[in-house]
Amino acid sequence: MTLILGIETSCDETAAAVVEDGERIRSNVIASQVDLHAQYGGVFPEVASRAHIEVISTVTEQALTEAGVTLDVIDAVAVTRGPGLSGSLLVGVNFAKGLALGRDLPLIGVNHLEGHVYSLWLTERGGPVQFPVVCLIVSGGHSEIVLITGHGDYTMLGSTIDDAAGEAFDKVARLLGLPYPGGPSIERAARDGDPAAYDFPRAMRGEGYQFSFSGLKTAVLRAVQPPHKGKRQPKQESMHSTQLRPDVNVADVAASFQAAVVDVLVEKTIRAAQEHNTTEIWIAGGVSANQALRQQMTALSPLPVCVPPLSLCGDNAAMIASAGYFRFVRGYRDDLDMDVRPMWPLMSIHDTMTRPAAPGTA
Amino acid sequence: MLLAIDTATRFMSVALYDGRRLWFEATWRTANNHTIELTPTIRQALAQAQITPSELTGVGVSQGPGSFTGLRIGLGVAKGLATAQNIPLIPIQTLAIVAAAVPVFDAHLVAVLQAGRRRLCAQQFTQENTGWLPSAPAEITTWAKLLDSARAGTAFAGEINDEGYELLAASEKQLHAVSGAQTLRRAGLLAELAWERMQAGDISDIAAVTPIYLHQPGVPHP
Ligand SMILES: Nc1ncnc2c1ncn2[C@@H]1O[C@H](COP(=O)(O)OP(=O)(O)O)[C@@H](O)[C@H]1O
Repeated sequence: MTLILGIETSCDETAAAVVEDGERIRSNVIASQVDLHAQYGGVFPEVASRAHIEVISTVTEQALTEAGVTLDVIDAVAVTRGPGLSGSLLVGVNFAKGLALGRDLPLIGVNHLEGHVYSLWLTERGGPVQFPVVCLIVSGGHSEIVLITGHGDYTMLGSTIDDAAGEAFDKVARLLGLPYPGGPSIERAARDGDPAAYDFPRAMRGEGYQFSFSGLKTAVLRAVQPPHKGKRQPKQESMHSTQLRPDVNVADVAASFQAAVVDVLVEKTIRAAQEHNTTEIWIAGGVSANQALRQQMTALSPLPVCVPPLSLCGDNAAMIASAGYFRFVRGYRDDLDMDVRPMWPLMSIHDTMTRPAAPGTA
Repeated sequence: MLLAIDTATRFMSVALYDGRRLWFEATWRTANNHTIELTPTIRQALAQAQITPSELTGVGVSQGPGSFTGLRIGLGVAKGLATAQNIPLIPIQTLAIVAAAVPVFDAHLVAVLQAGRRRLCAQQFTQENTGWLPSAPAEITTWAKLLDSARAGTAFAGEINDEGYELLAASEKQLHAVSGAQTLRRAGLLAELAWERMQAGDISDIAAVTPIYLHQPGVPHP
């Protein structure tokens, strides 16, 4: 049995978890800062870093306690190295280094996006995973279609050329005066709305695997803002405006916006899976919590669709521990001089990530 | 054996101290590579002193004021080590470490750190028996303001830049900088301060230790 302690502080959740053999969650502790950042309408980096350093040791102790273990039986420490907010990443990485050095444990730096992929390894399934699979990673910072041909073998099929899907949810929510974080707010508001009420654009539909959500966001803005009196100044449109036209039905806008996002995500992911003959379609990242996305993908895909349970959609450390496990058993280790990588494309992990340990070292 | 860690500014320092002797001390200026350099240096310290992490009995850390990021890097590693070995974590104020390097004399001492954008973080100390005691809270200021309010004969220690040396030399109040060796913020001194606190039983809960920030994060534009 191999036990990995995972630590994640890439954005606004301080998280620690213990995972057994890469697939069994022994504990999964998440201290969310959502309430702290709500007043700013988004993640405020310095506030996030301050909160991480305050709770990191407590969260880690709690993860060990809930798993019923001590550091004595932990085999390695896996920690998110990037991508993410530099000041936030630094807290987790340095704390993990202190633990690793203090207990002579191997240290494994994990890519946050790879972590999201491994949330699928923590998800119950019928049989073993058969590669290749295609994974749609959709979160606050990323919208990517990735082909996975083996552990650690990724090919990027497409990504967003402007906003990430979650970012679009957050911006449109702000526009509609819905509370932060925007994704869940839009989903809630959309329940009572008509997804066909507005015909919002489905950018780049049918062609390639790139996404673009910025035009959609502008279309929503045009649909809900009050008409301007007099000459319109081109730069006057504000994405922060909560001034809505009196005839706007927020539920209809939310439902129509969500339908436009989901349509493109689903269409492109299914096409990518078919073109590459994958066995399954996976969805990971914060936006994978969205029920409309899950339902439509499952309804339209000819292949099995796997999504993580809601508890593993957002940022968590269990997925980091799981990704770390699959690196660990392949002999990868990082040295104590490991730095954070705030910009770290999933595709470049072969060049820049962990290197195989020299024979005979921890 | 107590491990002392200071990453409050670009000058960083690591020391090992057993209550009598310093077993290791390194102080250097980093090109903002605190995260890359800190833990390997601690590993080297342990190796050279031929001790294992399980022989550590406490971790002293510079608590601030200082660079927010720098402070969190040192405190992150310190919390990790203290958690790993379940040993006390002892935070020490950064400017007190600066003052500890200066032999006590009958005048005022001002300890400074560079705070970026030509600002300084400064604190005044006065002689009290055998040591320096802070006589005012630390504050963010500039050389001009600092020298303006300084009393005649005051000594300056810490991160004095060229501007500071020039202004001190030009001042007519007999202000002076202490020597280069005494002006260095060394983890060996941090270790002594932390050791004293540890012996006195003045120990904080690991989770409760947070950096001293001299200002709150600004609220972004609505
Ligand atoms: N039910 C949902 N529907 C749509 N978007 C959601 C939902 N839940 C969360 N999100 C979005 O997911 C993003 C956060 O996901 P997360 O994986 O934590 O992102 P990151 O790692 O990029 O910070 C936010 O943009 C949030 O609005």
